[in-house]
Amino acid sequence: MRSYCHPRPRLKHSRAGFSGDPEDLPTFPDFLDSRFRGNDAGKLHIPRWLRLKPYAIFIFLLFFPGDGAAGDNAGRWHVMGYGTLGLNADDSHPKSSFVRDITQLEQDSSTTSSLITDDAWKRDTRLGLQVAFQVTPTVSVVSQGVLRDQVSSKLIHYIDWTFVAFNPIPEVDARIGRVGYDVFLMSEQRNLGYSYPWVRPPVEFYGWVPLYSVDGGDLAYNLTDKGSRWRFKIQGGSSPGLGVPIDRDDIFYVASDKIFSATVTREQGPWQLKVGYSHVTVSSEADPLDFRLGLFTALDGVAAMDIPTISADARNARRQMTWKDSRMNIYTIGMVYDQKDWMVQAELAKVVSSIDMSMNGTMAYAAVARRLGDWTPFVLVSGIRPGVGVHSASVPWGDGLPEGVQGPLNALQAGANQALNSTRMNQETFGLGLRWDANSRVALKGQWDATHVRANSYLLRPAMDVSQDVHVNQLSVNLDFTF
Amino acid sequence: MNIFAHHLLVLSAVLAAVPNVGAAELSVVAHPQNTYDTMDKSQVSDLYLGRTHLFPDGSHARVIDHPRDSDIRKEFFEKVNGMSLNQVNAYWARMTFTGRVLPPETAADSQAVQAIVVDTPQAIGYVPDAQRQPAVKEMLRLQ
Repeated sequence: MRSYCHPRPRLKHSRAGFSGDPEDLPTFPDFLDSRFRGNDAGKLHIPRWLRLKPYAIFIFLLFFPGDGAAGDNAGRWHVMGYGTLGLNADDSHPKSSFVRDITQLEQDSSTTSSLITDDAWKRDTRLGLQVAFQVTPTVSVVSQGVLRDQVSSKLIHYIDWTFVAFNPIPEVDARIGRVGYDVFLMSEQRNLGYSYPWVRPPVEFYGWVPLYSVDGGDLAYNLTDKGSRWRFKIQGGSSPGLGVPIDRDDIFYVASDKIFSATVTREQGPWQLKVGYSHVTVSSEADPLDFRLGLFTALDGVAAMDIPTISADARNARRQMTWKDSRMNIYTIGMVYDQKDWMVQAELAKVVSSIDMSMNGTMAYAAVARRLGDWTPFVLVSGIRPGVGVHSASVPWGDGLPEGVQGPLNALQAGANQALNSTRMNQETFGLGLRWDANSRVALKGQWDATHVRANSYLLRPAMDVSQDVHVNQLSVNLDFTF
Repeated sequence: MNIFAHHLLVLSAVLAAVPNVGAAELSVVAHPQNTYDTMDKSQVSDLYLGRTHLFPDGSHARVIDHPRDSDIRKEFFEKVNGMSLNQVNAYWARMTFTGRVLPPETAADSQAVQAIVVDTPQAIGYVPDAQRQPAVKEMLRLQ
């Protein structure tokens, strides 16, 4: 059995619900063995045609005969791709496998003594294929699918975008369909290792972002003024949600029916500055069928009992883990200095959610790379701090109550706290690395990361025992390519 | 003719025969009917980085590039905006695979670039100045 602090408990659902009688409270250890299933993407409030369109068009474009990228763009098909072969090893002890983002399922590696776990090659490895058709000089259709390690096996989660892009007037570009979620500097290029010096976007900044794409569209207005290029962009739509593993067999699809983002980008010479705001309303529940409904029911039962203090705590815990209709606001600012020899990039973001169990925190990174011909050494620092404190049982609910009630109430309290703490992120990483451009389409990278995972930081190292601070050294080697 | 002068002439002939793009001046060329006679580095750079598809007068530009690995392409970007080829390739990967814009079409060599430019009023390309044909208009000299 996992420790108390493990973020992905297996809580048993009480199908009969909770009667309100403390005697009926299931003991928390009993919760731990059951499975639960996340909600289904089919329950999302998005039009059916929009749900089918991304991969239907992708498959159509993929198998339609094309002429390649040579020749006049208009009226031509463009089939191109990219990929990464990655391998990483770390010295975590007991062994815990690394995850690049929260859509990946950590392997149970606690009995492994090797530095390299069985799934070490999966984390950064990916293959992207893009098919585009330039209909006219101002209208194009683009679709991109990416095979990457993620817990979801639904085809729709492997199509990152499929949209029609057009320029109604020279200053305006618009896209309709499934478009890349665009609020951060690297939102749309997270999979594209060839385009950045380091092996992966900083995990502390990008690892928690639950969106790759938005089903809807965006509109951008471009303005040139005194050598500066301004880009004002708005984006809106919904998302079927990436699958986030909560247990080895159970997935929570963090769906959204309202996504709105606005960004302003200014480029001048080698400088780029981007500020962004994004609002996301979650439309799915973490455990609509089994897992958390059991916990919800138990908490609701305790809340209804009007036990001084305890009922109020239970009511609050219940509210803080209700994902559906919760809201997430993201504020971000980023800058890039990209001159021939030097590249400097930094971002800062703050995420504020209406519930404690959602994403809350402040995150930042800074990276400096020096180009020396085909060699690019770089240094990178990133970190994240949680926006909410640790939920702990400072006063056990069972204290002072009859002995038969103490155990179940304390177990329920522990389970609630465990769930609420499961999304906390509190860690920082210092990285050093080297990129070698082997030729014009292939880059080999190596990176050493020293990560300090602070106590009670669960989301980015889900399999690790973080009851105390933990230090991990990680070595990654990635081969990035385009074709 | 003494032996030194003879060797100098032979050496000069050999050097002249060896393609040396790095030492050559480049010409950005367009169709003779292009309404503009000159463009500056910034305008040309924006076209070749996909930041605009338009000439300064608002007409659509058909941008012709050289093969991805060619020496002349490396020379061109270093001269027009100071970007290394690795930097340009990473930039275009980002632009292409984020679906923002497709890369320019490519022509096999300078002769092919000029063949397209001569036939296409909205085309723009670049060639070594020494190979520039009279039928195209020079918009910018890159030294």
